[in-house]
Amino acid sequence: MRCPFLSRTSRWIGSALALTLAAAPARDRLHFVTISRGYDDLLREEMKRMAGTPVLPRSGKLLTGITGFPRNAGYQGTIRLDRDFPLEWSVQRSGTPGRTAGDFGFTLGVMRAGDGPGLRFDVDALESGTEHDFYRMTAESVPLPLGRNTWHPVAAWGSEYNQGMSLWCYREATAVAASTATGIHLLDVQVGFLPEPVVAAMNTFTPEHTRLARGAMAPWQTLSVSCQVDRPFSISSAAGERAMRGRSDDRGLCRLTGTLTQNYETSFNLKCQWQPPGGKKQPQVRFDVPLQPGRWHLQPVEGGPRLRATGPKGEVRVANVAAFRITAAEP
Amino acid sequence: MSARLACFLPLLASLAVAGERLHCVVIEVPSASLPLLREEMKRAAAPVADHGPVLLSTDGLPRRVTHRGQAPFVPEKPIPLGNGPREGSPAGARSFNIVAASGAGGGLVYDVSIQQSPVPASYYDFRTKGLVAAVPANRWQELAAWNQGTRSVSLWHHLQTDEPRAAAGDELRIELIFASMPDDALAHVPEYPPELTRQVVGHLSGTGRVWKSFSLACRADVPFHLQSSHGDRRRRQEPGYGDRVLAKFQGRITRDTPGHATLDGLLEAPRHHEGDAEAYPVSSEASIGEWRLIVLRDGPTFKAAAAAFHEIYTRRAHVAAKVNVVAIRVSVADEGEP
Repeated sequence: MRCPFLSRTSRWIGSALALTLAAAPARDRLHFVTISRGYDDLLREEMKRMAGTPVLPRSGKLLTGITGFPRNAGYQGTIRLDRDFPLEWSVQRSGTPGRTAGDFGFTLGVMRAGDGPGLRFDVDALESGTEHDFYRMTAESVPLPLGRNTWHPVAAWGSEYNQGMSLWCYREATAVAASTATGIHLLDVQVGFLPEPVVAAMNTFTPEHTRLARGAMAPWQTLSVSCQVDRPFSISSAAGERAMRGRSDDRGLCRLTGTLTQNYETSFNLKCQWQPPGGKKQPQVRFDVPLQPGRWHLQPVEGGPRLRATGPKGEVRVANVAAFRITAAEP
Repeated sequence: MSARLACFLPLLASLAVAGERLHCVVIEVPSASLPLLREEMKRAAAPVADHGPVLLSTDGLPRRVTHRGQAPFVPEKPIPLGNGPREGSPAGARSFNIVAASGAGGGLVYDVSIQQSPVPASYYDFRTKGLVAAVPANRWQELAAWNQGTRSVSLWHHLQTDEPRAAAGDELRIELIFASMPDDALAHVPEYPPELTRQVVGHLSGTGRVWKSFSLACRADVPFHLQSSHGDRRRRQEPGYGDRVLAKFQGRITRDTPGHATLDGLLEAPRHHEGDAEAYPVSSEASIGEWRLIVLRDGPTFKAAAAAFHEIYTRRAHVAAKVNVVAIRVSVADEGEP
């Protein structure tokens, strides 16, 4: 039943295909996706399983979803990197009915980091909300770990009344030299509440107790950002009323800026300033935290803002503790 | 006569104080707080006080001390730690029977029967016999922990002593969590890497989809068994009234190499539906100290918290679910802070 013509044709197609593939320029693309937060450490483990899958399913059950809740993709896109920098990917969404359109949206600006193959980017997202008219989430000059063909968490924002989102990037590249992600770490910061006797005793906690205490914190704000040793980082989130935007953007703004330094192999130091919301009237909180990769560190906070959620007996809670962790980027 | 006895009493009391004392305590917490309680107990001082700051509660949620017992430590003799046998006791009394005895190899062997009242009308009963544990010199050690719905109860012991005692070193702890996971997540369970397994098990208790969870002190090659049952307090006096068994588990751990163990176990649960099995073999190999998730085909049916979006959307708080996964961990019993 062999057909000589067909077999010759298929051979011809095959060789033509091989030629095209060889001639095609090496793919160098950046894929990104935003995913709603919750069970963050679990999400990171789930995303490790998605290495080699640059385009995630757009909707439905994105991942294994152990909690039973599907994890949905928010903004999702691909940026070709074989063009002139800086590159920008932007989407504007019309507002809810009765409001001016074209305000909510997401912008990702991509730059080269120095002469090497590294990338840095700026993120600016404006989202509608239920508790507030808008939520604004930004981060500047965020370095992307160099590890190829795997998903990297690069930034995440979340507050007490807003579930927030996390931004993930994937460098799909064949030609970029495989290099280890030197000096790039993911910094996780959580500000919230723990009972006063716990805050007083927490410097004597075992690492396991510290890890569990962090999980038991009533969170007020959580931020994550990819940062490079000795380079300043900046991440902020804001909430407010749209009518007041522009005039009072900084009132509901919370900004974290600082620099991570490395003392020796597994010993780091984080110096950062945290601007609580309330504008310039609110004094900045300064932290100087010794860090070891993979471990949570707790620091007391004085004069933190009041939490919206009260205690079991209706008592007022004030953000009195901050937790910090760095995780070395996956190579 | 009574005067003579009265002058002996202070002497007896001082003898008891000077000697070694064995303490035990039963603490109830929300299930998600149990890992925190284990860390908090490492810091807890000798007898857990009746009043005052009982324990450091890291998450601010209550640590309820429901039973407490102590007795002079006498080697080679049974040490009663509970509030005595309560067979035929008036309804309303909570019985708490714990008898410790020095066992072979320098450990303690416990017979345990504890009743807890979640609501005045009913009680939970937890029993285990022949539980082997190390002598906990000047530290709290967990003997057993089990869940009652969304709350967890744990039993601890502590030996107040002036003599240093070396830990025997061969005491183990077996932990079992029977839960229901979404079907599509289940398909990937066998290929989970250890870190993902650890994360998933850590989140199971937060999902409200745990049917039963147990943790027991044990020793290699010594069979262990436990029983969890439930009853109506008002009907306990009726002749022929028996507790309703919720679950029974028996098993044995063999330690093949220092880093590796095998569990051979059998779960028994009452049948709710025609065609349900009565016994489910649960056997697995496990690396010491690492969680292992195994799939259980057609496990017992239970009332689970609604988790999936479509379930919450239809405003159902609880749904019937089948136990389909068992998390198992065999670890070296915690040796406490040096």
